Amino acid sequence: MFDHVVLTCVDRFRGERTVSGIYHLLTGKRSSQTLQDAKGYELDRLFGIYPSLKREQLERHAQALVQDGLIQINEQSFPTITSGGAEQLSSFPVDELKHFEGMVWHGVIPTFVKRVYLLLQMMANSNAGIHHYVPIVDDYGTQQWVRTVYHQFQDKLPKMVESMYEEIHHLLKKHPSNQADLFAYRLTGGGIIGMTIDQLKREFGLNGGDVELMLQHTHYYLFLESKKKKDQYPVLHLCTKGLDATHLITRSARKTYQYIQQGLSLQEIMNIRRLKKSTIQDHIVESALIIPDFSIASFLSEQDVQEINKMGIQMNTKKLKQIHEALNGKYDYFELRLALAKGQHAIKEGMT
Amino acid sequence: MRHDLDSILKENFGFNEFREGQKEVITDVLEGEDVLGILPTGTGKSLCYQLPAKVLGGTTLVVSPLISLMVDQVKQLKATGYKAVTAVNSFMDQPERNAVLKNLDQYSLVYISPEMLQNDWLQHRLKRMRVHLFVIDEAHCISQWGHEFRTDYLKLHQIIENLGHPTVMALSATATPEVQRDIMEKLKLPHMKKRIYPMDKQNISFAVEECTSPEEKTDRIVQVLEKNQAPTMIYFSSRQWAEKVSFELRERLNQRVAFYHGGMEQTDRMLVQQQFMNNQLDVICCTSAFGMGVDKKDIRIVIHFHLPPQLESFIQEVGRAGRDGGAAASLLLFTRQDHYLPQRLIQSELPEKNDLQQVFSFLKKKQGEEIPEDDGMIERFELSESQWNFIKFQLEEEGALQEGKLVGVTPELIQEIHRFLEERWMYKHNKLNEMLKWIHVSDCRRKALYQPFQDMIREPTVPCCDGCDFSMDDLSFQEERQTYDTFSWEDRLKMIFKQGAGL
Ligand SMILES: Nc1ncnc2c1ncn2[C@@H]1O[C@H](COP(=O)(O)OP(=O)(O)OP(=O)(O)O)[C@@H](O)[C@H]1O
Ligand SMILES: [Mg+2]
Ligand SMILES: [Zn+2]
Repeated sequence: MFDHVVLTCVDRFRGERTVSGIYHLLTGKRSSQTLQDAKGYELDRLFGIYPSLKREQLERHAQALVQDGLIQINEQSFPTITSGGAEQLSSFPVDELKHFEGMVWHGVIPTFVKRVYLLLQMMANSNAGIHHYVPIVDDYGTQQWVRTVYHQFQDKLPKMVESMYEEIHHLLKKHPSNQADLFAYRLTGGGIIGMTIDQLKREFGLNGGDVELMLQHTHYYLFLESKKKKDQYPVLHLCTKGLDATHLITRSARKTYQYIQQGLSLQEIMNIRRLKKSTIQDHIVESALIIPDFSIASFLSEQDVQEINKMGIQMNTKKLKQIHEALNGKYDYFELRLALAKGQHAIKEGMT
Repeated sequence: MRHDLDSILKENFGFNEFREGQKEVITDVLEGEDVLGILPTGTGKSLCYQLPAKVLGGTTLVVSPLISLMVDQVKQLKATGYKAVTAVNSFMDQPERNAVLKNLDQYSLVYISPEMLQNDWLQHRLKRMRVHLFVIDEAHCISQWGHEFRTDYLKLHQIIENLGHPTVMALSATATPEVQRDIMEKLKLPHMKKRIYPMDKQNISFAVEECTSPEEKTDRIVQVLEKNQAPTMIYFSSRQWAEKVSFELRERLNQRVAFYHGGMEQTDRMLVQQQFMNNQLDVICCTSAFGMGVDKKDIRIVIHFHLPPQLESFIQEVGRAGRDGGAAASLLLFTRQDHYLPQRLIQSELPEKNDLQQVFSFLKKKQGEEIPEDDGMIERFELSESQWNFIKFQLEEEGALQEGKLVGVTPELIQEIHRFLEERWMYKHNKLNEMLKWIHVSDCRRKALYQPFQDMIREPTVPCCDGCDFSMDDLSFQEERQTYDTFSWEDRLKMIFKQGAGL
């Protein structure tokens, strides 16, 4: 699974991003660069799906892929996929990754997961007559949440336990069985303590990264299904309550956005906010990326945007440096990023 | 006011009788007397304040040195149904901390870390509450001659005073007479009632064996555990070793083995601990990060793969075994090279003379300014956290650090701190030497181990030690174990939810 994810990233990045870029993508770094990459290279599904990934771990994994002849890394440390890698990539079962929707949901998945694990422990334990136990989730907010659920549904508890079992059973039945195994063995309740990541690795003969990603994939699957189908999965749906899609724009960028909407110039915003020019520019690019109807007319004309995007498509690249050179330095890097960010929406709209 | 303590014990804790010392210490504080209680590891010091907390009403404040220890205790208490308990520490997130602090007076038992107690606001809050009992757990931390000296503990006497002197209970399992005196002195409570109980564990047999290499140690452990099936802890001085040996044991033994150390992710740490408590694991390879908070009653074997840096740590770690009073055994393995390991540990705790010199010439230029940030200093001079804490505390102690500002970093001061540092080095080395001496004892090890702490050593209820009548090869624990071996996710899910037949 980890192979699959990394190869997918390398493939989509087409040798234009470093391993570091992959790291930022998978851990969900909120920088306009990473956001732009995720959208531009159509990797937004994988954005932020592996927040606990360690940089060294990814680097080691990339090295292993080099050893296996699946990717190459050039001197500037940009990886590209080899023909062997491409072959491998196409042989992975498509089901493996299909439920990831990182860009939209990565912000709320951790909360959902904590709720499910703790609620399940509470229910399974009460079902088994275990009333005193150490909560498996150490997070105060989640414990409060489960407590509220408990008090609210106290008299319906046996029914809910039954339902939770049925819901999970039903969903896992339609899920790859190795991923179902991992999830079931990770659960704690009814007098059984779940396994650690390390134990799961050993028990199922998996490599580093695989367990985490496979579990995570199951979490996305359970989340998305139960979010959509309230009637079919009422208890799991309860765990998705109040968890909404992430609006990825950072608070700081939002502020800049508002000033621009009010008609302030870049210089004025710099003065008011006491921020560097480059920071404000990042905010503007971020806004353009996230907010489809954000007008950038005060920075670039419609023709400029088109010219830049055309060049990008023509050269089949997202690399700013190449586009910059190809246009003889007519635009600065800020303008290029902005135009490409804007162009992103045009592509999307064209597709639908 | 007289209380029927026995029925309170039965009702609230489900125990039929008190263990040695408990009733005495409890009676003292109920009568309003300050008490110093030295009770052996694992016999139930916690009960000595948990029971009075119920009887006295108001709030019982428990100062505990390790946050993880505190949090574990609170979890365990809550798990047994004792709800009016909380731990205030710097790692709580904001909403939780707010919720707890707002209702602080609703809790009957409040665990708190000594550094949190320094917070003015909190002190103010506590002053307006009815604190009836002030407990200092692991009280040896207050003494420089105790094995885990914590500088924050030294300020406790002030806090006791600020709170209008509630009844004080100081508890420890490992305090020599010297440390006992020091505790009373530092608390400024010379009239404390002393309740000192023999700390020799009569239900533990001791053995020490020399090996020529780490591999041989592992072989020996395999040998022992092939013959014994019972909850076992193996202590290591580093994370790497704990992991490495756990992998090997997994391969070579028909037992369920896991590792545990401070570098693990929080959830995994909790899972391993719970699995062990729940008998889903037989053997835990751990660093001293485990143990402290673990109160599993039926641990039968404790093995030391490395030398602890002093007898007190060893006694405390061995004290994890046989908490139910049943027979247990301790095995310490060493090689000649091991002597250097604890030495390195000491080095990481105390600053070197050279470092000290450099830090001071830097600080001298900062006279009158705020003391630089911890992280900055640690990074700049490549210090460990405890090294920097040592220096900072010395500055404070000598009055060269006032309200966060550096004043009077003089040559005399530097001299003084140098002298003290040397003393600490000496002290630690002596401690290590005691440990080394102990592993080479040829007659009764039990006597040699407990002699520094008490006059009379009692007869053990189990074979004594390898100097007397015990050999590790005689040991034979065969306990039944429950396994949860299943095959598919469906089976597992059914077991968790108790679905289907036969479960
Ligand atoms: N009177 C009693 N009868 C039976 N069991 C008891 C009694 N008092 C305490 N215990 C049990 O003994 C165990 C050890 O208690 P506790 O953790 O308080 O020990 P401790 O003295 O604080 O040990 P340590 O030195 O490791 O901190 C607990 O499981 C506790 O429930
Ligand atoms: Mg204790
Ligand atoms: Zn003996």
